[in-house]
Amino acid sequence: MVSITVEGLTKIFPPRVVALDNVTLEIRDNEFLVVLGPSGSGKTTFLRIIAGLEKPTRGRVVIGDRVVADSENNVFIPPQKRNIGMVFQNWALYPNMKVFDNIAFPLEIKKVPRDEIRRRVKAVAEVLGIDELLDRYPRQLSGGQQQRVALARALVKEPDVLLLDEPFSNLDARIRLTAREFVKKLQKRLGITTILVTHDQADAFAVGDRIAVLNQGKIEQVGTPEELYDKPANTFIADFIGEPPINLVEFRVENGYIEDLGVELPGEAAGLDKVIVGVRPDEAVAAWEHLAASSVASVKAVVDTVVYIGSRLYLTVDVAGKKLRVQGLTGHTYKEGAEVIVSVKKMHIFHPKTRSRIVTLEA
Amino acid sequence: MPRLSTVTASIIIALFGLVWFMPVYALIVGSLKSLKEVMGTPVLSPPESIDTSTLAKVFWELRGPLLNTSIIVIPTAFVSALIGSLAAYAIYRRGGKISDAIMLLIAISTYIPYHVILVPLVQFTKTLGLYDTLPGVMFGFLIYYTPMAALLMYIFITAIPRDVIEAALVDGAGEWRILRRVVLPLLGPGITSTIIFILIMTWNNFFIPLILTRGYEKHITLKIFSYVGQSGTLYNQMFAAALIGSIPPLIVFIFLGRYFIKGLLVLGTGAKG
Ligand SMILES: Nc1ncnc2c1ncn2[C@@H]1O[C@H](COP(=O)(O)OP(=O)(O)O)[C@@H](O)[C@H]1O
Ligand SMILES: [Mg+2]
Repeated sequence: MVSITVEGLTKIFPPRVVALDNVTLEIRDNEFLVVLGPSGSGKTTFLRIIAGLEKPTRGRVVIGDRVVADSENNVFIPPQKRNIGMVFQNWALYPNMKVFDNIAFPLEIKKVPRDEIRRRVKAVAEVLGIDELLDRYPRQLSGGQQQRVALARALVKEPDVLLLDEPFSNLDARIRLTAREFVKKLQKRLGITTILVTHDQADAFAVGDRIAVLNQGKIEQVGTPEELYDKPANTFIADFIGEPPINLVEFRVENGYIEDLGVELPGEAAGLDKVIVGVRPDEAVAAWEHLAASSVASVKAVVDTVVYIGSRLYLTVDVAGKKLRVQGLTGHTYKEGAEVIVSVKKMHIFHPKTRSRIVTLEA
Repeated sequence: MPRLSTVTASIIIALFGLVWFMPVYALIVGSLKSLKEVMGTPVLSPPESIDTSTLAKVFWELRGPLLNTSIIVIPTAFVSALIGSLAAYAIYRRGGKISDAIMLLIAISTYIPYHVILVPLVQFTKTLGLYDTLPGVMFGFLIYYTPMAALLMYIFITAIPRDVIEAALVDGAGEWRILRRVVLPLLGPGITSTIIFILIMTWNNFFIPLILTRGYEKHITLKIFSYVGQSGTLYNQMFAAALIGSIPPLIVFIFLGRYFIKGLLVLGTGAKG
């Protein structure tokens, strides 16, 4: 039973880089939590503080039933005594040791008997499919193999917590897919409380039970992948998550209706004079006629450009002078300058100043 | 035009080589001439007949100082590289302002001119009862070259990826174990470079043996110097002494030079050496 609690965590690098700003978060036992954020948002710093490689400026970290860092009571347990497994961004294998010795190193420190070391290294290497590589040096391995060795080294000591810093970013696209699947399955099988940090939303969606979105050292939202996608807390989350990116367009509000779209706003939103409307390209379709069955809005638009993203057809259309990216129906031919009707299935309404979500309108 | 630039580069290298080889050539021909010839012919003219008797005679006279210098220089190089590595690791791991300040002090101390420490060094060595002894010269060298070793080792340590050391911390290793199992093995080329560097520097050093000993017997450079102006300079013997004295560092560099260069390359590539 190992949960992790982080309370009011702040990290300031002198003189004034605020890497983490009052982060509070709970990671449940056996949970796979992903911290997702753009580069420089403080992800690595967060992991390093949990590992004990960095001291928090303020705040508390509790792992299991042990307070490992507490700035107020001057508690700090060094990394050696935290029983944590960590995979570094570029794997940080010991270049002077063979794979076997790399994996055995944590056990050697614990003074585990030789026979048992051999047995446990073999066992974990088998699980990770690297038992053929034990006699090689790290430089003789491919990226994917090095990553598995790093995972094996992190797992062999049966840590309370597993920390992964951008573990997929140095893998090429093909291996990345299998690696994600592999890590996800392994985590579920071993049931180790795990934190993975990444800047790649696809990583986050592939492995995370829950995702915490970090932006400039602050947690913007914590939730399951579905929650983040369907109920983004603010425009940052809405924009950061989803591919292709959401359309965020400001519209004026008149008499409780969104101008140009003719959509009635409920409650609080109706009183504003402007709102930011968020529409995902995948939740709006351009067609020749009104697709009445499922839409909150349906407006006339003019086709601007046509592009394929992957196998899907997307159009940029012009709605009352504002550009929106929407989905096209495959099999149709869209001509630039042609008039279409855009049917919107789902629409997020954000406050123009605070930029937080007020309401989501859905058909 | 890669070919043309290769040719140009080769010519430039050959020119440099020629200029640098000139004194060595002068030493070689000078030490093979008789005294009369050495006095009567231009420095660079080849000897009329090859006469190795001077070389043999001088080598016999130099055998004591050669041995003494080796006894001083080899342990000095190893000890200063060891102490330097330990100091550099401790400073690196501690980090922060104090470490920066210590590194700055070390860097400054490697630039201190000899005459500044002359009096205190001699006094201190006398107080320790080491004046005019081999350990005394060793002591002087250690004082002078250990900071340099620390500085060099610090540069090599910073070339080790930081997260390899941090991985060891997370794996549960203490500082000694990290030093022994991770840092020192990765510092191999760096330590070798430092040892070679200090071997050569101390072998060629003249001033410290000069102030810490009497006579000419305890260091090769003093002995070579002793051939100058001894009852009228015996130029062929002086050439021979200088030639013999410069052979050991040359051998060290020829046989270990590739490690030295490997060490320098490590600095560029991040400890992959
Ligand atoms: N040791 C450090 N000293 C000073 N600033 C740092 C240090 N480590 C990280 N930072 C700064 O803290 C911020 C967060 O960094 P980091 O945690 O590495 O972000 P991420 O991993 O999300 O890219 C960045 O602005 C970075 O420059
Ligand atoms: Mg990072």
